[in-house]
Amino acid sequence: MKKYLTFTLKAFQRTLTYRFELWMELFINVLFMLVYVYLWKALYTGRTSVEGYDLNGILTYIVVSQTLLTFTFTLRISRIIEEKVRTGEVVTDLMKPIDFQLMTLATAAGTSSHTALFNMLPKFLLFYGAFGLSLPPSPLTVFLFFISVVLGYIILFSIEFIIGIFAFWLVEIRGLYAFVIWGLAMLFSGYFLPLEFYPDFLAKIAVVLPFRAIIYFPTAIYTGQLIGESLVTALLIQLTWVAVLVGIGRLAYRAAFRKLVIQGG
Amino acid sequence: MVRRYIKLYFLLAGAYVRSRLQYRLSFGLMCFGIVISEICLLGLLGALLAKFRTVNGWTWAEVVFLYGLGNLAYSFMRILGSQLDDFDRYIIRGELDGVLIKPVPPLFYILANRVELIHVSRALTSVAIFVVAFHLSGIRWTLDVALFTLTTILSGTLIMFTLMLISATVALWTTKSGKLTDLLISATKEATAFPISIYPLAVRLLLTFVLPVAFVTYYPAQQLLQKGEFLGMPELFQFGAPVVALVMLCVSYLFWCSGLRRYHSTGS
Repeated sequence: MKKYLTFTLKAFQRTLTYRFELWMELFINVLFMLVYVYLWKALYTGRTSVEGYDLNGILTYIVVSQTLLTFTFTLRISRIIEEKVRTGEVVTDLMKPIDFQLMTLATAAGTSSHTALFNMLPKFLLFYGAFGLSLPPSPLTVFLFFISVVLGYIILFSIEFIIGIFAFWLVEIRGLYAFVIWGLAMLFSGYFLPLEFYPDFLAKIAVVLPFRAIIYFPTAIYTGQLIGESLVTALLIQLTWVAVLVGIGRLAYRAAFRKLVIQGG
Repeated sequence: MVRRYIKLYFLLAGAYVRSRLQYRLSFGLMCFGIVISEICLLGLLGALLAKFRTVNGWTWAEVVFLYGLGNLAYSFMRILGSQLDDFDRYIIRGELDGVLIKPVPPLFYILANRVELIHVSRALTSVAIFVVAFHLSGIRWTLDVALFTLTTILSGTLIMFTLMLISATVALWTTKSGKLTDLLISATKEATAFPISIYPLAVRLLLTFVLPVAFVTYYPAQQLLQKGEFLGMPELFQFGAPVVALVMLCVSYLFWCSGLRRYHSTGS
């Protein structure tokens, strides 16, 4: 366990190096969020409640979901794996007496906890204060929200990990990445509007895909949209996706490494 | 002179495109991925508009028109300038030194060197979306309208390109720009998809005078859709896009040159 934490710590420190970049990133993120917040304010003029969300509810939803979306923006695991495969650096990783998937997760967690601390948290607090957003209904919800965020993060990681492993077969994974992350994940994660707002046929597709477990579930837990039984169901669905996707990731990289051995590196 | 550069541009771009085409499968996958992601984004906007019908008095067709116009400028800009996406690579790896000793202007070389044909797939999708949006918003085709639309698209492309150039140039001071360029362009593109009347004054001023992307969609759309919604700005702004594009082109190029002048190699 300790050796994996070292990876986390190192990744965290590496990110600290580029201060200017971080400030600029925060500034642009805030611009992004402003666009959405004012869009929803405009959409809600003359309305009190749509699909169970009042103005305060929808703004809270948008700010929380936009904040969580930052993980999607900043996690570059598939690109990192692709780069390692292309340069051959992956071989040195394989020689280490550690689990490749866990090591990658540990590294990602380091970068992401930095993002959470220095980008997501200030951004959220800024909007929370400026627009008077709501808190989750109870302390227990806060706890379950964080559990759900972590599960959603592992699901996002696992999807990116699988995409990255495809680099062993494809030369370029940017297309696959654009298709899955910029296409499917954006459409079905519920970052732009709550899934309750979706037309029926889109909502039906969203239910069978893992993407809503990345952003919609934690956000809807925060806003109190998912409570009681539906909250437990959501967490169970997340756990199932974690098991399935981590499993697929392991099978994929075992297959990839076998192929690597055949080629002799 | 100009002809020589055009020839050189296609020579450099062609060589890179041919090398990329060696990997048919990944090239096809990339085009496919881009097209699908464009359609998904449009799907999101569609889901939103299906629910709310209007945004601040703009009908859903007019919003799709705004989105289509911004998207078109954005996707043309991607063909022209996506090489600036990871411009900091040139600095981090010391490749810029090699570019500086080439007998052509450095910016020309960088732009011509890695032209990604995959962005054409995005542009084609955007053209299709725009044509439909144009039709939906009920604008009548005349020669004037056609010329104005073309000028608007060209100016919009240039405005977006100059923002890209400016944010890439920052890397000459900071060494790293990472995904900032990409982020900034996406944020501004997102902001132009909706009527800027939804934003408070400070954001409107920002989008008009600092990151002037309101000239990519909102102000020209006043003329095309006959909205007459100027929010206290001069009505002349509806024709302002080409002027803004030219000014931005000069400013960004001067900024680029001053960045190059103070550039010191990283030595790696």
